Amino acid sequence: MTVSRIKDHKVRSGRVISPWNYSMGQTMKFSSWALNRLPEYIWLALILDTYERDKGLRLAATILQEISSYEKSLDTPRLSKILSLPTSAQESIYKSILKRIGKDSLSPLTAVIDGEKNETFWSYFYVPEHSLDSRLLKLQSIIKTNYFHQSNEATDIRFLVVMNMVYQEKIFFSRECSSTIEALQEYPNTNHEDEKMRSYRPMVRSAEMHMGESNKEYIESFWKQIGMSTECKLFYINHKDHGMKSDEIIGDIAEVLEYVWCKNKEESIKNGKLTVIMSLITYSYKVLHETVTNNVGTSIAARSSVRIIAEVFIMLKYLIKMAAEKPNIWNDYQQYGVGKYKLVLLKAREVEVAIDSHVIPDILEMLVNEETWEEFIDADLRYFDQMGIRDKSIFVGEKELFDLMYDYDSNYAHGLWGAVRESAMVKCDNAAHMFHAVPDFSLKQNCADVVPDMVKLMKRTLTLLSEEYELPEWYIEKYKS
Amino acid sequence: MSYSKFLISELITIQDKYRDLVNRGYKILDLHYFTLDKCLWFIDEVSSFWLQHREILKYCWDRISDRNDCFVLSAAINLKVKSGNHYPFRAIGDYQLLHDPFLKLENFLRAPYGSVNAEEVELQFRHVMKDTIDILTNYSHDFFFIQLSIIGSVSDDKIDTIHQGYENLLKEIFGKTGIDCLSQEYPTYELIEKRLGPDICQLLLFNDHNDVNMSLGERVEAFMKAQKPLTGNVTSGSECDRFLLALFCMYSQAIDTILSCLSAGVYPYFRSEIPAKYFYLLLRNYSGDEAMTEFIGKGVASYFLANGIEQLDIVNMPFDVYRDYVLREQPYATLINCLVPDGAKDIDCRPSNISKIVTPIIDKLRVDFGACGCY
Repeated sequence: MTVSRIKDHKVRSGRVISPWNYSMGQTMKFSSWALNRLPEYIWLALILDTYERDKGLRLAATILQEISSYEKSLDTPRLSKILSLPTSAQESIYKSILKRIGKDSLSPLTAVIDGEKNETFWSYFYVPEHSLDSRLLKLQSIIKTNYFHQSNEATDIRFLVVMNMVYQEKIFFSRECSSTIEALQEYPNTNHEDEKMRSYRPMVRSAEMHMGESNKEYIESFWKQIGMSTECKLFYINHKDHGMKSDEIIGDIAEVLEYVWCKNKEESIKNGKLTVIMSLITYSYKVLHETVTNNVGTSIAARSSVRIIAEVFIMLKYLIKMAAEKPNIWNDYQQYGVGKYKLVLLKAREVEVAIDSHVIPDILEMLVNEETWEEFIDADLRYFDQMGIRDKSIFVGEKELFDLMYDYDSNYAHGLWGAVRESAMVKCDNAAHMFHAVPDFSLKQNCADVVPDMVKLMKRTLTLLSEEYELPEWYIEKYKS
Repeated sequence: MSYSKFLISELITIQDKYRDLVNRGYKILDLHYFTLDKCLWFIDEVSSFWLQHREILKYCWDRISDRNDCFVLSAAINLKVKSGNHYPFRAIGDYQLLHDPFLKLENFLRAPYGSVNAEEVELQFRHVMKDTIDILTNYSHDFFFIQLSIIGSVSDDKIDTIHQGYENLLKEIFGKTGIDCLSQEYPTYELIEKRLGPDICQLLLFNDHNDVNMSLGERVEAFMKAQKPLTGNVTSGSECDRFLLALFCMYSQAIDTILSCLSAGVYPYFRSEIPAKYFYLLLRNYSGDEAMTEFIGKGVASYFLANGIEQLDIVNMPFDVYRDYVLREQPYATLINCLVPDGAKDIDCRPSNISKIVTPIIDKLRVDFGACGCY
């Protein structure tokens, strides 16, 4: 199936609008085949399932034709409509059905149709030998087969719905619509594998789409009965950890960092550049180290770790680039961070912080006042250097890194639905549950291992470092590829 | 509210809904004279009820059965409160479960048309309905109804185990399997009895302990007669077929009980001797396994304790007084403590040992109940 590229989308008022939505505006109304229409026509699906396509289509069409000869209120053969007819009308319909098919075919419906409210239906289609379990199983399998709106099986049902309109004389085709007429005439006699069906099927589906309104009460009751009576069939993606031998590279990074620090220690006393660069890289290094040594590369928390390393890399590149025109940027960066801490400290003083909280005001106070008394420290509420991380990434030529990893992992950091769905929910394969996803209480679903990406980012960070400070030759030799 | 009280309160809420369902069902069934169709409709309603509450029930019972000894009435359709059977059962374990009795009737009722005795269905259904309503009205916090498969279902491979085990049993008894082959070689009860010998014959009880005084043929026929009312035609087949059918009935019932209880993490409570005996016979070879020994031991112990209490003839004692007594004195816990003396690794679950330990416990109950004027 072809999908639109980024450039095909329109950006309007901060929203990226898909080409479909852009051209249709608010005029589109969604009507789900599986959720709203299949439960209404499931009795036709049961007939097709029992007698198979050729015979099933013939039998179902004959039944609909006969019913249409005396019952004119059924423009669409919706089950909810049939069930709401007076008893005598229902009886006529059920007799027409049973004249051609066995009651066994429709007995599964008694598992979801209330026997007290629909005594007539029950009296015609209840089969004592069929257990509730067996009836529910049959319905589950029918729903699964016909769930996808473009499947051959679903299209067969939709064909019968269109034909019912013809039998009811509620739809007429002009002679100009010869291709539609041909499609409807040939459809039941043509095998799904036949090339001609590639044009017939879409015609049938588009004709059926606009027919009648669903009965909300019936639809809700149907899904509740079948959904609550059946169990979830959960499945999940089991991501293996990448098995990357990262101990060696981690050890090498530590060696490099220590070497660069020792070699340039004097500079750290003169200005803040070395301290900021080395500390930022060490911060990333510690995040990588924690992820690897605690073996949490496939965890949710590890996604935030990647984001940290990506952000540190972009920031570092920004600082180095800006340092040419703003030599004091290293100090500004530190002041900005201390100011942010001061804000938290001020707020912490206004509330009672629990003794076991990980926010420890005493430590904040110590850090804020480490170099300058807090009374002389301002807090900046804007982005650092008044530029957001996205713009910084563009400024330093790392937009791709931002778009891919930073943005993706930000979904995790903010608990946005995509991330929640991917990591904290598992899929249910039960069609009767509308293939929903459920919370992963049993902790089955993990995430793809982040360690390879983290290592690549760390290597790039060291390359950045090498542009400012000399790295040991052995490292350059070892990782030059 | 404690954690366990919270779980029980959830179960009580569901049990209240179940009571409403049964009461509503009773009114409708009574109006329709308990016809087969209506009984089956009601069974559908009951099945649907359990399915719709399956997740919360499983949540609660999984946690309760992990921390407590839960017993489920086995090898019986319903408790029969009128006969006072609720007294001994209430003393067994921490929680007492009743597998939905209507669902136990389902297989009989869904038998092919014509093979079900409608009058007997009505009688049985009325009887079970009355008993269930009695429990739900008067003892709803004492006994919990459940569809056992919700908290532990017997998978298809376990059903294969049943058939395989039955084949093994036939091999052990006859030295060969294959029903056709056995029918040809042992067409009469006399030939079968001769082949089995007195030792095995003594073990094959089908009705009650009086079976030991009857010939094999008499036992099988008495058993078949007792099964006849609901299922109708079991008069056909050779004597060997009928013997094998009776044997399979007893065997599959015992194995089904064992597998259901094991997968649900509960213990079986037997009211009568025959299923308790089959239970022990089928499991005695597993007694090397610690968990299985505990399972067998508690299953057998519960039978002996309940049987002893039943002999005390306390049905006239007010049930709340009796309940308070067993909750306070904990005869079941006393029995289990005696079965596993300090330092012992596991239970000595031989019936002879259990029977010996039960005697003083029952004697104490006799004295205590006598002292409070219960006789």
